[in-house]
Amino acid sequence: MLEDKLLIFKFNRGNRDCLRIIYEKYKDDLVTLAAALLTNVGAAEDVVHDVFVSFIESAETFRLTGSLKGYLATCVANRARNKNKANRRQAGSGLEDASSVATNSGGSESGAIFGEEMRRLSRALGQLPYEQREVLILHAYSGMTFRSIAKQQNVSINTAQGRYRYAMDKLRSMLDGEVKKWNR
Amino acid sequence: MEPLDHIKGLIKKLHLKASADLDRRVHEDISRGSTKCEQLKSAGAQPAIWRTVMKTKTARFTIAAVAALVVIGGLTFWPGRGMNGKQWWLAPHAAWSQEIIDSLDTFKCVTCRERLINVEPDGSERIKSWMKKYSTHDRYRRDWYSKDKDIVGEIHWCVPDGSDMVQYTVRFDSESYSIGRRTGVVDPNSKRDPAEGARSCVEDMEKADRLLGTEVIEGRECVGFEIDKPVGSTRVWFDVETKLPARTEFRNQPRSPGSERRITIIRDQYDYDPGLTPDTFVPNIPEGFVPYQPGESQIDIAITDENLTVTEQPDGSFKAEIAVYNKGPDPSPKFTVVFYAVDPDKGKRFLARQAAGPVMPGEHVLSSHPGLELRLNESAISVTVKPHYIADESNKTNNKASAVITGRQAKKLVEGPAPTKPADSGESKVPTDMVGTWFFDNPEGNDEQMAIFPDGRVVAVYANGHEDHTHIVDGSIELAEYDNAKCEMTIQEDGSLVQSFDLGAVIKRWNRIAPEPNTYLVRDLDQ
Repeated sequence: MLEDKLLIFKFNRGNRDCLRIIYEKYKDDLVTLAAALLTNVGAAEDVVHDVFVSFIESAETFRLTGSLKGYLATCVANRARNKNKANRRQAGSGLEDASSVATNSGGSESGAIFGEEMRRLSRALGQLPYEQREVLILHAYSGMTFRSIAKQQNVSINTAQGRYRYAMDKLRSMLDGEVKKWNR
Repeated sequence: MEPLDHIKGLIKKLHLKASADLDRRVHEDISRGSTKCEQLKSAGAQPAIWRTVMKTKTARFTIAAVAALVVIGGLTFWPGRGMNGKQWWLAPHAAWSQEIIDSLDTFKCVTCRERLINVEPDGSERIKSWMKKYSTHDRYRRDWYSKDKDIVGEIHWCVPDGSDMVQYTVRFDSESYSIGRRTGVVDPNSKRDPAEGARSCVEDMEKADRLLGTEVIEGRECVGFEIDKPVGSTRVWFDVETKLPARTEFRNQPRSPGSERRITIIRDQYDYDPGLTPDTFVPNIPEGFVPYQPGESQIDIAITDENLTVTEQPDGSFKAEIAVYNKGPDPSPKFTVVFYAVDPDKGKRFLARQAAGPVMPGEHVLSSHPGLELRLNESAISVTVKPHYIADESNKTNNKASAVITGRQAKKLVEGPAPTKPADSGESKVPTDMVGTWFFDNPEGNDEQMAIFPDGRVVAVYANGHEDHTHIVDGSIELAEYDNAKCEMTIQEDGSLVQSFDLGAVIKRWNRIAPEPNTYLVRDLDQ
């Protein structure tokens, strides 16, 4: 935390090496977060890239009020949400379809990269509605509170918690189903 | 059904590595942003005249020949005249020095790096710390860095205010700042301004004892001179093209009177009119940092046994949580919370430490540490809070708390051996010549600093940020950092302070660096 404050302090004063340190420090977490949200590694990297481009441009005005990791994760989540909406518009289909398309196009890729043991999880995540997946990932992976997730999604805390429960139930059901299928 | 915890665990294990392509894209964007920034800065800067480097073979050959003559002739060389226009340094000092001195007056700002290097008696060298200096004609700034990190630890801004100078100090370790005023200081740059230092070097060159020849320094050809002084030698390297100082070395300055250890101060990376933005010299106190005036602010970091909760974790380890209050009237900077295991027979054993705070007056912060592993017979956990500036705490008796862990060895818990009590009366409990700030130049690890107070209180500060707070009792000291090993402290004839075990084995020799106890940072204490 203190290190981040120092990095931002120097970053505000024009030290671009700090940006590199910040990027190297958080890049994997952010790419993972974006990939889990979008279930597409290429799109995920585009999102992370866009976040850092904006971050670079904010050098002199950026002020850190909370944790830097949380701030960057929120930026990634916001951009991933926008990207998902754009995908939906392009596809002209429902959210589940968009997720499914994303999974089909990128799921195998992310599955391969995440590793074999994560393949089932990656596939199951891709089948969740985006809003549910977002709550699940932001809470379980990034450790965000339901309050801040609800604020991001512009819904009540109860709704966010409900989405989380639905997502968990579906995920559990899907993973359980796959295990049974494989064991057959 | 898959258990929920297992699914959560799987999600937490998700890990992707950013691709090389993303790395390249982001780093390129950062570089582009950086270039853009530099261009903006340089657009408002003075035209730089000194970047061209002369690298002619003829000049090098001539210089080498002259240097060879000096060596062969065994002369303390100062040539009376130049050989040609390019070797201006061979001309009389008066012929070129004034030009340099005048040019130094034209610069609005100078920056340089200053490194402090310890030189051991065997000649080995270690960099202690370094800083970057920014100076203008009426103000300066110093960014202090730790010796092995590129992270600034402390920044000083010294700016004029009428006939006074006001120094703003921001300390990142304690997330605090202070503001001090020096009244009637009309010439703040007399010893601090690199331009002034460079001017002084140029004037000194008239007395140079040796010509060192030329060397390429930071990509530029430079010519060096050396002056012998009673405390060591001074070397100054001038850029051949610009005639401006490019590197100064103050070698073999004694660390303290009579000390065998020496220091070398090297200033380099001089940049004249580097195109700094005006806010370089504007004090910038980060949000959330609290004011702390050493010697003035009154804080009282307080904990009690009731504030400490210890709970056993499913894996058998323990989690300790302590509520730390600030009962003083001023905000407290960040402080250290240290967790110990307590064996009723053997005393305290260090477990962990972490930073906490800042904490405002009347408020408290929670500091918790999971995963504390206890050994057999250790039946309690104790906690000590250690403010960075313990000397200013109004109440120093409420910095410890302990909690007996139910169900473990049911021995009577006694206070660990470390807390030897302070003096009851105001009279000095240590010899007068033991009071002050002491420095241990550790050749194998972190340097250490020890402040000994007249009442026997001792604060040991380590360069890794750790601190010990204890007392000298009957000439002995126990430091938790070293498992509370009991050591004798004795003043030697040469004024040093020797720390030794009971059997007489010397483990440390401390050198005094200040007559008053000072628990500041471990860094350039010679300055």
